[in-house]
Amino acid sequence: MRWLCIALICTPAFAAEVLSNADASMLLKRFAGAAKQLDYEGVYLYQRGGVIDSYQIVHIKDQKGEGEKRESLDGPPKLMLRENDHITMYLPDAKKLDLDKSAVNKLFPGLIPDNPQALLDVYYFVRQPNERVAGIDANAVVMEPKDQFRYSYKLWYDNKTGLLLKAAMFHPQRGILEQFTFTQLQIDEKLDRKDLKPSLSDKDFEKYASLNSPIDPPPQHNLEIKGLPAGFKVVKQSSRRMHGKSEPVSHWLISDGLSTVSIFAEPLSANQKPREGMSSKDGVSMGSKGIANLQITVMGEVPDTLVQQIINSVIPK
Amino acid sequence: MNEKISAWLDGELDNDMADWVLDQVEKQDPMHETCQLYQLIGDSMRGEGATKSDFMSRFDAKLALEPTPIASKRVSKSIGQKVKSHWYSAAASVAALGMVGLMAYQTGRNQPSELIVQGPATVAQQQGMNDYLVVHQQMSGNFSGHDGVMLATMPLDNSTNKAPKK
Repeated sequence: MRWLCIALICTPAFAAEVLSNADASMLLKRFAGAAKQLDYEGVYLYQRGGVIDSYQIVHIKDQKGEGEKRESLDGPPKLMLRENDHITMYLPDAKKLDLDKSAVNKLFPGLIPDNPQALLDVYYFVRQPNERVAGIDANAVVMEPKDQFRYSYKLWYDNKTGLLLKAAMFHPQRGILEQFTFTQLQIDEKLDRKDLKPSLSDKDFEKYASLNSPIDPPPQHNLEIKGLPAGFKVVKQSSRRMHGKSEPVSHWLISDGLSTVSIFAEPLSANQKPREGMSSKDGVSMGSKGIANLQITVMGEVPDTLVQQIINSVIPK
Repeated sequence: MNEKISAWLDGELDNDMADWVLDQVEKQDPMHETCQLYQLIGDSMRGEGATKSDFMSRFDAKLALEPTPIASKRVSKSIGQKVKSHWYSAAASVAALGMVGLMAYQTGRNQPSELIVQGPATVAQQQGMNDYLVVHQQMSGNFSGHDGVMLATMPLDNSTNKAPKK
């Protein structure tokens, strides 16, 4: 509610309108649909803290379905090609990349989940004045959390098509934590498959192909997650072997459709004391506690209040 | 100077130049943070978190002898006593990596009201937290997953699983 008040105060000349659930639902579905259905080509910036990276994106939708190319324009060359659910990564020095294809499908501008119901229950949607983004007169809406467990978001979009043009995540004190913004964008261009051809030379790349959602065994440790804050649920759970760990680590991914938090559990070695504590920095929060002979670690780009709540929800079976 | 630190951490300097850089770092406190950040960035991008050069080991050993008081306060009684650290004003790039790199978790339940960090977190702690963060981001999508998907090259298990070059 605090952010709702800020949004209202900061825009005195604009009659901020809190959208009804029906209007907000329609808007979110437009965002999700536009990212999948439109042909578009552009360059977007991703800013986190003091780092800004730029990416070229080409997205097409034809009779074969979706085709997408993302290519880094700064730093080491990285390339991702996607044909519907078939994803190929090109990296300078391929390592084991354990990407989840469902995560890859939700990158900017496709941030909004197909089913936005969980978001409608936990955010207010407040219309904001228009602003220009990438040369387009963009409509804007702020997502104000109804509780203290998530950050605020502001979304700018092309009212004609519903495509997200810019998205920012806000910390109550620090302001923008992360943002994506198109700097160049062509929507509804007549694009075809040849536009997905990488511009980078592939001689220095190794290909890591056919990424799929990893099929990992379920968590092996006798823990359960109970009493998550409203809107959050376990969306993925697994047991995985990790670099430098002698025993498998249990992992639960918690999400409300926009914010995500991870819970990790690993066995403590003999006489090893568990870490206990909370930390947060630049919008990333982390917490630890011991349960029996297990070290529990919770982390995510979320308020520390959420990490505290989630770490308390991890209990022995 | 930052370029020299970066080259030093990448093992690209000869012994004389490396000694000179180490001396400069020891004379200038702000460079400690720069070194930590460069090391973490380099390690994470190369997937070499567990590998440290002799000079970096020496640097860590020296840094570990310089206790850094960090004001802290209790934030909750729900999971025993917790501390919320006031962090260095680290450059915000790779914020999370910076966090785990400088993170000092307490052990045990009897925490002092002021946390004393004895140098950086251990290499194992850094690597462990970095690996967790990479897994989290690679699985997340949306906002926090962008880095994980587009930037992460860190191996997540003991296999490299390299595909043949095209």
